[in-house]
Amino acid sequence: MTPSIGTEVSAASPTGQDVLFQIKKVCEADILIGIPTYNNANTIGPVVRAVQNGLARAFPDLKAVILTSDSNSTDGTPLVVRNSVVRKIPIFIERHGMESGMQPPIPYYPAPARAASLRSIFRTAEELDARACILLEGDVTSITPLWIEALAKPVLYGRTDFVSPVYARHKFDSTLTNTILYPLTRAVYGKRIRQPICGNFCISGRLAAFYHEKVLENESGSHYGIYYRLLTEAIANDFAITQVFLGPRSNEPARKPDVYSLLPQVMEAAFGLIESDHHVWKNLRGSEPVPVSGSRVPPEREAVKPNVDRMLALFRQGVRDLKDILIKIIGPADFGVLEYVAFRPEGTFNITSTLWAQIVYDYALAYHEKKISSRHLLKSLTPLYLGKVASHVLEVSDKGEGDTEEEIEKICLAFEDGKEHLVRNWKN
Amino acid sequence: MKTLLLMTLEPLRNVYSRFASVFPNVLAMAIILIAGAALASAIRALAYFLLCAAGFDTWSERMGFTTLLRKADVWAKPSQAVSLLLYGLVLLIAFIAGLTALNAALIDAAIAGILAYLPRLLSAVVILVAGSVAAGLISRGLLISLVNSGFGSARHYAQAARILMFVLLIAMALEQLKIAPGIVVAAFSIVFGGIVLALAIACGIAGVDVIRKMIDRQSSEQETEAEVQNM
Repeated sequence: MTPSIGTEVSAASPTGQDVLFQIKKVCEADILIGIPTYNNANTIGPVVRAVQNGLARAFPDLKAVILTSDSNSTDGTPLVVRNSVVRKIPIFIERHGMESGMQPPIPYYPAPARAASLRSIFRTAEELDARACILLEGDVTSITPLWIEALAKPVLYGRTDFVSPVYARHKFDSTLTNTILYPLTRAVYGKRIRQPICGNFCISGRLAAFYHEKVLENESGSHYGIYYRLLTEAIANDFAITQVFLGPRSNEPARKPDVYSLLPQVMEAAFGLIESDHHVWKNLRGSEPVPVSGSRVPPEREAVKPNVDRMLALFRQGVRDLKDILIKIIGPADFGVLEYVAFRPEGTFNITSTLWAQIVYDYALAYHEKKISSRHLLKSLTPLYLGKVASHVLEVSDKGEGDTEEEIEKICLAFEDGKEHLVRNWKN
Repeated sequence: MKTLLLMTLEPLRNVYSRFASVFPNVLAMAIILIAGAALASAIRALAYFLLCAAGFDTWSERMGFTTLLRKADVWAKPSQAVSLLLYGLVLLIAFIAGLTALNAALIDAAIAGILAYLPRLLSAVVILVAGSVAAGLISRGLLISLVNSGFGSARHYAQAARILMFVLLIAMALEQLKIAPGIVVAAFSIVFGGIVLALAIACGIAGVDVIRKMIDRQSSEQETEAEVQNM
């Protein structure tokens, strides 16, 4: 059968059956590469070329299909994809309309209709009976052809269902992951997964089917939390997970979301999943390592040091002006400690890992008990998070990569030790 | 002697007949009051049970209703406060019904007036309660957003917004109750209009540079567009 190259297909029906019909008519696949896109004209070309070169290099004998699921881009992204064909690998371009009533939210979100794109990709993987399904971000600028082999090999030739990336990050990068998501996921779910939110990962065909049938069926919207949910569902349902070093990761700078929109989205997903997975984590204590393959490489560039003064100013203002709200959430005792810490001079300013873990767990409990409106609750965490980031940056400023990982390990151990507070105070 | 006896007994007979005509009404009133009190107690207990079962206290805490009660120096739980309110309401209705049983024309007219006023009283209470909860939520959301934006006077602006909303709510409630409606509307218009005017002047003075830059940018964009079209 002659593979189609650059075929543009519209998802005219709600289930996108037109797309599937077109793809199935043409070929089957061992590997499906899915790329959700939205206004990625600047970056999608190199991504698609890297994917094609990676497939040709690592899996020349396997059948592969590339599916870009576009959320109605207005900058000609599908055209760039069509013009980036360099090899005879089938590439399909699916276009989603916005879900009814949805406007592209402001500020920038990864892509509107992200859930619809992922659903379509997983459905396609299931229907094609693909052995491996690689998901990639349309705006990643550090991708190389080697990523394809590194991500797909453990699934194709190992017994892995989910391959999570480990990036070479500068010590000032990924503060949300380092100070909250990695320690929280590790303590709650008992797995040491270094990158809990990843837009570049690989899953097995059976996990893709699980996601399509059980996880994303009622999911809608575009929030960052979708990726976090995919990982925690894999953990909660005992799918095999490994990690692989991928090297540095960078995305298009203009599209980086700000902390005020990112943090509430991510934490809503995290706390919501903690609520729904209570039966999974209530008896888990400690954590176990998740295997990592590949070679660790140092980060390529120097990160810009965050503006500590501004973060401290916002943190102090938050502690001062949100006093009533914070006391309601974290209690007067912890607030007293926070207040004492807030007005220490920069040289001695330090939010300890123990206090930070306690605060995050108090927020999880307040979310569960609906102490205040969840929207207000999650937004009120922002100044405290900035305070912790400032504390972390001051702590690791003079340290190397190894010492920075030790600091992050301390945060993780504090979260694991503090889990008892969450379990004991959780009301069913 | 007989005449003396008649003269002595006649007033007593009059009193007795008057008493006899009024006594059934008084008895009816007493029965209504006692039954009303018993019913009010039963409703209070039932309401408290149902509100606790429905998690009303938690909901009130979340919506800011509890904070409102505390500020009004009411330290009972919200479910207790609401059930007490219902108790008072049923008791009031029983009292009015009891007074009606006396069949006195003056009292009937007064009660008719009170009953006609009750819907207005109820709507004023609803406006105040619902409005207070909404004002609390809005001012809290505003406070958090301003703090996250690094706005220095976040707390004062949120407090000012809450006060303005309360001024509006009180004006609406007084207007519902028909208490000096002309004065209330005029006073509210003056106060609100004054505040808006002050804000407009402040924005105008503070933002004159920003507005000038916006106008300059717009005119240069229009000039560029015109040049392109002329090419």
